[in-house]
Amino acid sequence: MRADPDERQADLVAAVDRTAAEGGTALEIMARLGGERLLAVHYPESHGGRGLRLADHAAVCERIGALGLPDVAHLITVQAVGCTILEYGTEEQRTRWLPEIAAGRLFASLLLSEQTAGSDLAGIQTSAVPDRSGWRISGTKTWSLFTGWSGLALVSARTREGTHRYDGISLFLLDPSSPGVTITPVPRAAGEPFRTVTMDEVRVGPDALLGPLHHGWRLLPTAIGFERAGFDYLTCATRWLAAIENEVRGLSGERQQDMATDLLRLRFEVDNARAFAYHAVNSAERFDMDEVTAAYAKLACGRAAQSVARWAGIELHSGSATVRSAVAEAPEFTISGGAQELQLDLIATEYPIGKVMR
Amino acid sequence: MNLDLDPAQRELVETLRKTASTGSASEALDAAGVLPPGAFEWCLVFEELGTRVARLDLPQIDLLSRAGYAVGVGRGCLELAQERAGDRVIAGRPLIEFQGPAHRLANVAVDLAAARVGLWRTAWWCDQGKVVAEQAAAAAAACVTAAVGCAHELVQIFGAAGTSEPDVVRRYQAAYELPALCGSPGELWRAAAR
Repeated sequence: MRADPDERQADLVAAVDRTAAEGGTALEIMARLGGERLLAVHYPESHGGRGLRLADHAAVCERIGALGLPDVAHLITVQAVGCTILEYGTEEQRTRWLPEIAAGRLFASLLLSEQTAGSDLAGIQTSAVPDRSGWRISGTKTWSLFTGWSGLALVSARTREGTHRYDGISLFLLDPSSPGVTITPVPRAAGEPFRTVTMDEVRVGPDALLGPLHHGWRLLPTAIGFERAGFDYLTCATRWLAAIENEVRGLSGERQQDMATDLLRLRFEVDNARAFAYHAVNSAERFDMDEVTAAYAKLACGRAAQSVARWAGIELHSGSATVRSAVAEAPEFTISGGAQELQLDLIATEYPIGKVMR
Repeated sequence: MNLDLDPAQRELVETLRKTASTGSASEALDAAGVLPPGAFEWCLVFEELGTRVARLDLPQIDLLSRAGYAVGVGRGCLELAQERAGDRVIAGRPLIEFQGPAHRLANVAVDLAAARVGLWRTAWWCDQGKVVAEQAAAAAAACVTAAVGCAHELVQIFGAAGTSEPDVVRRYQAAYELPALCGSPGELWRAAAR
C-alpha cells in the first residue's frame, strides 16, 4: 500500500513539466515530449519507449492532461492503437508505426463505434471483403475523436458471419486520407467535435490486418482497456475542481464558508477516484487491467467529474468558461468508453468489495 | 500509488479471517495473536471486526480505527446481500441477474470502496507522520454514510425476510450505531472543513 506516486513517477512528471515549460503549440510540445521518450514510456526502448510499467505511463498521461495538452488524443494514439499494435501486430507493423507514435509525429484514432453499436461493439455492420491480396472496407463509424488529426485509424469490421456474434470481427489499420474515406464533423456539446467516418469500398493491403483474422474481438480489451480506467475523466475532474476552487476564492468570506464542506467532499471524491485509477493500472499484466478493478476506477473517475460539474453548475452559476464546459461535457463520462451499466453489471456479479483491493 | 496490501498486511487479514471468534474485539485479537504495527493495519483489523459486528471492548479506539470498523459493517452487509442475491431465485432467475437490484448493490459497493480508499490513504499518511485530523473526519463521514447505504440494500435484497432475519437485523442496527461510534457524517464533514 502506497498512497502517493513513487520516485520514478515523480521524476517522469517533473520531466514532462520541464519539457512543456519550453512553450509552443500543443503539437510542438507533444513532439518535444516524444523526442524525450516521454509519450510512451511503457513501450520497449526499441520502439521509442523506456521499457517502464503501465502505471508509469499513467502518471505521464495524468500530467499531460493537467497541463491542458491533448490527453485524449494521446491516450487514443499511444494506448489504444499503439498498444494494440505492440501486443498483436507483426514485427513489420510495430517497426513501421510505433516509433512514429512514440515520437509524437503520428496521431491515431479508433473507428469502432457505429450508430447501432456503441456500448455493444459486437453489433457492427462495417464489413471487409477480400480484394486481390488485401481487403475492401465499407461502413460508417461514429463518435470518433481526433480523426482530423490522425494519420492512422484502427477499424473494426466483419470479415465473416461468424459462429457467434463475437466471431468474424477483424481489426485493420487504415490511413484516414485513403480514397473512399469521408470524414464529417458532428458538433458536440463541449470540446472537439465527433467525426462520422464513412468508408466506401476503401482498399487496404494485406499488411493492414492487425491480429488474427476473424478473431479481432479478443484484442479489444487492449484497445479500449486503458480508457476504461477513467484517466481522461480524472484529468477533467482534477482540472475542473482546481478552477472551481480558484473561482470560489474570489467570493465573499461568508459564501466561501458556506461552500467549504461541499468543496471538501468534492476534493475527497476526486482524490479517491485518482487512487482507484492508479490501483487499476497497477493491477495490469502488461497492458490489460483487471476488468472489475477498472470498472470501479472508471465509475469513480466519471462520477467524480460529474459531481464537480453538477455542483459547480448548480451552486456557482457563474457562467465561467470552465463551468459551462464542465456542465456540457460531464454527461459523457458515464456513457463513453462503455456505459456505466456495463461496469455496474461487472461489479455486481463478479466479486464483492473485499477482493477489489487485494 | 498502489492500494495492494503488503504481504504482512495480507497475512494479518488472513489470520483474522481464520479466527472463528464472534465475541468481542479483544477476544478476536487475542485469538488471532496479532498486534498491528501502524494506523493502516489497525484499520484492516477493525474492518474485519466490523464484518462480524464484534463488540468493541478495546479502550481508546482512534477515529481511523472506528471508521475501519464502519467499513467492515458495510462490507459485511454487502457480502451477505450479494450471497443472498446470488442464491435467491425469482421468476426462474437468480436475483443478481436483474439489473435493478444488481445495480443498486454495485452502487453501494462503489461508495463503500471509495470510502475505504479515502480511509486507507489517510491512515497511510498518518503512518508517514502527517497530521490527519481533518482527513480522518472526512474519511469517517464517508465510511459511516456508505455503511448505512449498504445496510439498507441488505434489507432490500432480503425483502420482507430482511426485517426479521436476525443476522440482517443485527447488521442493519449496527450500521445505525455507527454515528454514535464515529460521529454523525454531517458533524464530521463540518469538522473536516473547519
